[in-house]
Amino acid sequence: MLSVENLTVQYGHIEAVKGISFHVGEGEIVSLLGPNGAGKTSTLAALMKLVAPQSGTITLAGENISGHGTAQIVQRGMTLSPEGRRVFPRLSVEKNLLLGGMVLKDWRNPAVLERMYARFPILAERRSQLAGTLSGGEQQMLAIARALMASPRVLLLDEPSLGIAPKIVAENFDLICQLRDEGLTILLVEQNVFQSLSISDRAYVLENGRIAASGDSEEMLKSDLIRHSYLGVADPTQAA
Amino acid sequence: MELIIQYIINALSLGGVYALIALGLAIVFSIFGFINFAHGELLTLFGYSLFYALGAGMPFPLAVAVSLIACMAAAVAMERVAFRPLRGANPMTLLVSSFAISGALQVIFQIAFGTMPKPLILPNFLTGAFNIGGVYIGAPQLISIVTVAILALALNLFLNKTKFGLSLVASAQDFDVAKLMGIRVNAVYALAFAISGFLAGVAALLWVSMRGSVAPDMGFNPLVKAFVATIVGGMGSLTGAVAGGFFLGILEVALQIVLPADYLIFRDALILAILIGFLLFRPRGLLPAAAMPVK
Repeated sequence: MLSVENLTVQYGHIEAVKGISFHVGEGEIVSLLGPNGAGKTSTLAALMKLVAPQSGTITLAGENISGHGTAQIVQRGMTLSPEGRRVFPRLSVEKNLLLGGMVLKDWRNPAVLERMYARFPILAERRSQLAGTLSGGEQQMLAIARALMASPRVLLLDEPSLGIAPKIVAENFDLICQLRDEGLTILLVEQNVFQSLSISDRAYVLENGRIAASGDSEEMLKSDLIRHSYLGVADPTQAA
Repeated sequence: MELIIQYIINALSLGGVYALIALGLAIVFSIFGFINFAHGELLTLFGYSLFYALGAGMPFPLAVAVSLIACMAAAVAMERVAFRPLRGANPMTLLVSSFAISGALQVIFQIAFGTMPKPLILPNFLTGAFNIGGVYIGAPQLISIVTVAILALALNLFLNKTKFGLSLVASAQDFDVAKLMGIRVNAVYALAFAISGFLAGVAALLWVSMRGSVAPDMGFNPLVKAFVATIVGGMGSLTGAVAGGFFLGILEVALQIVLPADYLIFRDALILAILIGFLLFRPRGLLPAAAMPVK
């Protein structure tokens, strides 16, 4: 559904992403893991054209979208729920959602809103509240809901568990699984390695802008490299 | 009593004009993070456009429409030619550029139209006066108050209810995320300037009907007042801009009444002193925007 060839992102002289290639199959959850500064967020920014990549080919559902601007990419069916939620704080929950669906021809369609409220009852309760007054977890739900409003085929999620109560993190991860089961293709960027490996089908590990490892999530959970470097198990022999 | 009502009407109408100009400044500020000092030249441009359109024998409503369109086109062109190439630059750079445009346009106006003010012959309903229950009310004053009220309501509806308006508000709050909603950046930039041009045009119409002439530097003085209004009201806040405009209009009329004739020349100096006071003690204004734009 989404495939990326040789993507390079540079800020001035600093290369944040150094020619990575990966793909996400239809209906798959793929995790993009790695420490801070590995280039995960830069990769997502380049996919959405918030930064212009130096090189690389991005294909979405068979169509080369490398030359498209952000608005066109959203229209083609790829949306991003950005790191740190980034809801519009001084707009109501409902307006945040409407903005998410702005690319639709029928952007005020109440049926679309009601479907989203049915999925997120808390947002329905808070629909006229300013988004900035929601709790962190609710804001994260709103950010995901907003990204879903455009009915995307591919959803990019940047750190949906960052700074959120564990109970809500679990709820959000359940939701992500549910979305996959409905056929959505998801690229999940996370620092929460264990949880994202538990729900994803495959994973790539980024380190210093390069893909250091990739494979089946289940196998990666068992692999010594991952356990050692990311799950904080100091000695692989202790991992039982 | 009649006198007091007249003063109030004068204050409201003057404040209304400042509010319209300040609104135009605030809309651009909320997106771009800089005060467009060339905004005053849009007022001047409207004035000359109206002068020549009327001179060419156009009926008044048509001349106003043509001048409004010219004003909006000039505002959009300003963004396209001068500000868009500087996209991503420090707002300070944009601010300085806007000074440059302002200066350049003033000189161009002087060369093209001469330095002397040109008298503007406006229809009677704009220059006359009504006598309502013994209170003498100037038509421009009354029209100004009504126009500002209607425009403020219309702008509010536009920003809250329409796709374009909501795009603009969202862009002002978080530009990158607005892009992620599929909002086209160039369209938002152009729209912000088009609205500010429209507001400048309407403000200019009210301004020239109060002063009765057009001159190359006629935009400067109201612009400075509107700038003070945006500071007083809170930069980037639209409600603040309107509040600041009215505050300034009321203050100006009040000083006019209170100050002895010999000291009237200090009126503007006092107003600017109040600006300095705001910058020192309440730099974010009376009704600050909740957060300053990052860009």
